[in-house]
Amino acid sequence: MDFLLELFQRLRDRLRRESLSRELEEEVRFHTSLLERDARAAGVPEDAVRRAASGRLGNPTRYREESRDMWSLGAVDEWIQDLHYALRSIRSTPSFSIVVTLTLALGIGATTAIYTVVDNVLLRPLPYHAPEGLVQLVDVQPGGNHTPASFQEYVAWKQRSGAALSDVAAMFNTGQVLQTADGAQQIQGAGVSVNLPAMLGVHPLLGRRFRADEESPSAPRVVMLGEDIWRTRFGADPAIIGRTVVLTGQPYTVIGVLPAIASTRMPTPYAWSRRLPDFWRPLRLDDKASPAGLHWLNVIARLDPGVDLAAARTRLAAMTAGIQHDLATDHSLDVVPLSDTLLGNYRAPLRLLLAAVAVLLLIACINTANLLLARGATRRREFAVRTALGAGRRRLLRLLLVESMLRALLGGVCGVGFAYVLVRALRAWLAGSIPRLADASIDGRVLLASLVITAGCGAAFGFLPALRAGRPEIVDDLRDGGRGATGGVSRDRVRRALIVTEVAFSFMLLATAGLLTRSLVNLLQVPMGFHTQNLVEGYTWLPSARYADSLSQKQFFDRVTQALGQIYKPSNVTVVSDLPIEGGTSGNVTVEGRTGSDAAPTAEKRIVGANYFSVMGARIVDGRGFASTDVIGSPPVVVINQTLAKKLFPTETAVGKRVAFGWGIDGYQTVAGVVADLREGALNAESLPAMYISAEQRPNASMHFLVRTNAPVATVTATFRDVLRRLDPTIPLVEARTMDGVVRDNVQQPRLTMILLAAFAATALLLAAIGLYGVISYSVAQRTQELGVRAALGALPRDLMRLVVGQAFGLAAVGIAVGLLGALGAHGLIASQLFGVGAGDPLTLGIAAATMIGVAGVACLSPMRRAASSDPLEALRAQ
Amino acid sequence: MAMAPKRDFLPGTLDMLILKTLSAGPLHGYGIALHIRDWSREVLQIDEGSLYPALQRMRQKGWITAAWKLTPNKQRARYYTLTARGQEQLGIEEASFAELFGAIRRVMRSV
Repeated sequence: MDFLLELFQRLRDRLRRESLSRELEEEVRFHTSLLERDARAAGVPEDAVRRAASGRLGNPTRYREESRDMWSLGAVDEWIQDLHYALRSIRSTPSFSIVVTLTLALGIGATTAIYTVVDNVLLRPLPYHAPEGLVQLVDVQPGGNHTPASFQEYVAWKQRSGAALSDVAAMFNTGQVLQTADGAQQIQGAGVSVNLPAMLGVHPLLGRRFRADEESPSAPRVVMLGEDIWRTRFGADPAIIGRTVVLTGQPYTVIGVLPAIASTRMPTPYAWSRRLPDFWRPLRLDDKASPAGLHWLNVIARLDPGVDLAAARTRLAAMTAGIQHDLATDHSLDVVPLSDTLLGNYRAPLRLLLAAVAVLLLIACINTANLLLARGATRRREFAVRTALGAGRRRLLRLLLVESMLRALLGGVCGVGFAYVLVRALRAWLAGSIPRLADASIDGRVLLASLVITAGCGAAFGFLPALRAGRPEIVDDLRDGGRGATGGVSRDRVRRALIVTEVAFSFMLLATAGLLTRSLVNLLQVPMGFHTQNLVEGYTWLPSARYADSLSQKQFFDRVTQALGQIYKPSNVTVVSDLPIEGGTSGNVTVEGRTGSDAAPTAEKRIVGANYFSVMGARIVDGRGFASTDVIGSPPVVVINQTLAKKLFPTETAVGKRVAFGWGIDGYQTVAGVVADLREGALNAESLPAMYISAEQRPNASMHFLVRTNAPVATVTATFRDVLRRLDPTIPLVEARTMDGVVRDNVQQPRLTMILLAAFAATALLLAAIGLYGVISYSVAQRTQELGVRAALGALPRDLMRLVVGQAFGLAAVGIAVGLLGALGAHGLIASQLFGVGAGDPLTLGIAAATMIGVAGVACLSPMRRAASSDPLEALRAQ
Repeated sequence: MAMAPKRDFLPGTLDMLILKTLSAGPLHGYGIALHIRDWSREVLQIDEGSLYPALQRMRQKGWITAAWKLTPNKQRARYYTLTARGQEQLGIEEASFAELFGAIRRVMRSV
């Protein structure tokens, strides 16, 4: 208790230190004056009075210091003083401090941001209940192609897989038009097996899940609404359960509300990068609604507890044989972990990014180390002076420790801020294309880890120079020619090794960025087979309730093309069921008269307007395109593309042959012509075989209409909406895009990887430049005398510059050589991301090397000039 | 003024002497030094400046308080006053000193 009071008093005194000191002085003055009076009274001669008085008082420094000690907090005061010195030191070298802070911030920020992305997208478990047991059931065609499942397959799998799977569910994406008093709105949701909510672990916010009897097509229509829709369109009405809503003209009873959580997203790649679903409804399928041969369902399952993937595969193989016999199909079944399906595409690029950012972090640490070591070397004199004035070794170490920690802290804080900004930017930019990114938040552990690494590095290397302080060599350091002492040489070697490493890593990043850029360019140069510019598309689909038959569907889209043709000219307007590049319906193609499994390859099927090929600018290479004679009632014809023609008829012409598509179209059609491939399917895959059917002969309920025009997208979109509204106000325009935009979307992932890697490479280059500059300038400063002597002996400025440049390029060259080895060694990491270019591509590596040399050149410009202006007189002076 | 050689004090003794001096009434630094010098008949000689750190310490411990007042000669001086706790402390120190002194005396008389 007493101790606390004393401490409190001490604290108060500490704050009043200055005034207490003044009071002490006044007290002493008073005391001295009385002592002097006594001395005079005792007869001491005047000139000895003062000495007598002060002799009585004793050593003034001693009692002053001892009093002052009472008013200080001991160690704390010393720390505060160190802090003060550290701040002053940091402020007095602004550009150095800024560079160090930025370097640390970049390292910490970039690493945290990228790791956050990787963690959220790849590492976190799927949001569903017990996700490790969830698998995707895939229909495998004889050629190895994966396709969606058919309804019949789903039923068979569900019935027969009890030995391996405890639960099987199917789902498909679907849209509906929600009609309420406020108007019509397009909503997106899914048709699901009734057991799916339980399988995924989704508990309704209100109401209940589906019942087993609600899955059949004859059951009354029920729906679970999403929380968002419930709040925005129904005002979060608690009495929503039991209400009837009208979806696309049909009444549905609302039986539950889905919570707005991640596990309500369908486990398909498509659904994962979209917003949460607006509704779920039961499958309600039968053989009529989903005939055999129609492959469109996504099927997932849960493994039996205790059964692992390999065991499941074996057990299901037996089931497959039975199904193949009973359904007269040659498709088999594969089981894939759900996480592979959803995230598999992202593993390779994200791993690459992670490696790249780790390299960046390393470069940042090396740079920081280099800068701090160099600075430490230039402060040798300062430390010598401090030591000479009485600073103990420990005090000096502590001083430097505080300074390093402060710098590290500064860099760390900036790094944290930068990480937040970067993650938010990445989220905003990529959330639409990379799944799970929208909910990404910074992982505290990662932040802490990168903070500790970088800041720790900063602290360590700032601190190292102090270890030399306090040694006998201070005499040398104090001398004017102080640079003579060389922990110099070995320290220099360390610094040069660090710089070489830095250059090597930068080169690797640069080379990788270059390779990715070339891949992207190659992707974009893949021949499309049609003109992509000035092409705007709009999309809508017709609800089967009011457009049940082909005639009404055809009439609708005919009217759309007619209306658009009046504005943009009929020769610029056409329709297609699925856009090129994006992929769409596919199935088997059989040739009349042929049998055998390899005689029925898969092909894309597209329903197109009669003038499709001319509007798109595709070339007919054999036979003809669609003519005005190809209408309903006349013999059905198709146009196939060159890839399909080569596959089916490698040695003869395809024109005149009879082919049939696996489902939907009964009977065989005649091939009327062959068209040069329009790219159907992704750019980085092979061109897919495709079959085109005229919309005149086979109308479709969902179509994209395409217009070739120079008009801006907004205008064209407005026109689309207008046309649709005039024809049928309940049919909304679902989307409108440019074809160029579609192409861009298709290369979204490689483009993003490239941009990020380019950003890393640029940062690394900047850091390497700073590092090189630091090392070279330091070396020039060290060699001032030597350069002066050379100048005195007749060396021209040119020769001196050559010395400097030679050193810089020497370091860069060694760095590039090491980097080359590294780049070639790491090619396994990057190979999967490359398209059309090898990991050892000489052109790219050559450009990267040249860039590195260029950067080295720029970095040594200023030191070069300094060396060239070496004044022999200056150098020969003691300084 | 011939000065007798200064002696080292037993640690803590100075505090006790100051407290005892102040028990008679408030005094300033010079006054305390004078009192000790006079009453010890010049035997106890201290660096008078070393009073001040001791006074600071005792003030922090709450044994004395300090206040600026005017001397009889109208000069400003800082007067120190004993507190109740200081009184208590004085009692403790006196007792402890007496015990020590008694012990030494017994040993010196033992032979």
